[in-house]
Amino acid sequence: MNPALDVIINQILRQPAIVMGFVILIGNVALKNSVRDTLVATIKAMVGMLILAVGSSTLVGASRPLMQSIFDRFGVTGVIIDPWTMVGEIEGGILPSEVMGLIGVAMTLGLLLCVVLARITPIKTIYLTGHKAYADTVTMLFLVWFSTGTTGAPLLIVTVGFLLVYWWLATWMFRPISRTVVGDAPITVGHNLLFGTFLATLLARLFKPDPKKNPSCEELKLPGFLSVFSDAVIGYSIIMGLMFFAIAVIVGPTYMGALSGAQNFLLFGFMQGLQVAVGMTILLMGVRMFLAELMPAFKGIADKIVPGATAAIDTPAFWSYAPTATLVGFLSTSVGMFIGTGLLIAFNSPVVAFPSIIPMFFGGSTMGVFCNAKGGWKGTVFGCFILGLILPLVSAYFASWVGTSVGIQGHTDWGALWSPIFRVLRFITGGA
Amino acid sequence: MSSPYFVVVCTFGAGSSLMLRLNVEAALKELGCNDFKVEVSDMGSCKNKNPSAYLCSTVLLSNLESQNPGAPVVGIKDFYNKQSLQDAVKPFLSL
Repeated sequence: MNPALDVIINQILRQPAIVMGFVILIGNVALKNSVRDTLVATIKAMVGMLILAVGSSTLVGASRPLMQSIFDRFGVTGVIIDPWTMVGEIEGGILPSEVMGLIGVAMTLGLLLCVVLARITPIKTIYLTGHKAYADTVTMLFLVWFSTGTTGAPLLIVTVGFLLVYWWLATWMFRPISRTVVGDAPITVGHNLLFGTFLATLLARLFKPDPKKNPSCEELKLPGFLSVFSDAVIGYSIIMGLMFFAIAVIVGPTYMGALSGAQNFLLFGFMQGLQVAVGMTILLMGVRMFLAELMPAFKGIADKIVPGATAAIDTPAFWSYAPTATLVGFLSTSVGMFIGTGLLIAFNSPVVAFPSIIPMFFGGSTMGVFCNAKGGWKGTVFGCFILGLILPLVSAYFASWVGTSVGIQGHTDWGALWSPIFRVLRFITGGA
Repeated sequence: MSSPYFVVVCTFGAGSSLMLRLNVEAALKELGCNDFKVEVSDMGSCKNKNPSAYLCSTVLLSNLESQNPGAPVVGIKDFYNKQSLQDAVKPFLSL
């Protein structure tokens, strides 16, 4: 091959940062932005992607020694149920480099095709949650590659197809549930929580709302300090700091000490937990940088092409409708998840999935709001508890067949919906 | 009077706050205000920015207020209701 062409195809186009920068560049040129604005946007998108990579490798690096110590001590694989840790692990070596460059293209193509479909069909939902779109794209690309073994254009087409089903169709199917909370506001959930929340509301409906016997969560009084978990840095630090400390206690000085070196093994566990918050903060800074360039332009285009569409947006936009239900959902989900992880340990599962703050707080809060609308506070407690309970179980199974050893995607949809679908696909096609 | 400056806050500063920023910018333009600054932030890094007001989901209101004592914080329930967005920003404009 021509050496210049070889560099372009096998090196430049395999760099997610350059591909994303290129996407932003084309977008800015198409929107006739000034040279200055175009240059700033392109560089910020590229640097943002590189910062994201630093953050995700810190996340993976923070969890790896702890998960390794569990493996050394008990012979079981430990994984953290955290979307960004899995994204970090996929990008950090599982995904072959020739597939890496497809991330930016697949994400942009998926988002734009949503707009096209919303324009030409009666299903008018536009997906606007940029950071979830990114995590979904990385995970979906990996799953399609891993399950079917395809690369190149077929991989891109199949991945985008699945993403469209998720971003455009599933968000529209969720509208009846979102309507129970937001009424006629033109919004629906744009997040990989759709299927899990749907299941939770089914369970919540077993309890009939009743002003006296089963009132809304909003009638309850809960300690307000629980809302500190809505600060991601605080939530990650508290949960991961304490959990990694607990893991260090359980694994003991012999095995943990081998990894911590001169540092006290308990201090090491706790500090690794704080490192997760560090990785998360860096990652988000990068994500914010490239999304701030991508999403406003995208929304501007979408608004012009499909006026009056339903916006599929991130879940905190729904929390404001039932603030107390978010806390009830968070607590019930967390209790469920710890019991679920306990069950995995008790039954000697070869893979043990540990909770992280993402499914606990962000998943639990969202399920709480919708369960509350369907089944009062009892339905919220029950629906969120059961979904919390099954999450570690399905995540452990998911991790066992895709072969991750540090992180696994964070919400029930991946373990309970996509995992079986892709398991079957892999069975049929033989996989990579 | 200087141009109004709003900081839109959500838990990650990446998802819902970005959409809220765009809707707040639209609301400001509808009110005839074209000289403004709207910035997105996460809960972890929103301190000491001295904006005209912080804007956030009502669920984050108490947390944001306790992190920024004395600063004006406005909770927004419906991110897609033009009227309530205009009402939220109006008091901070010098119209």
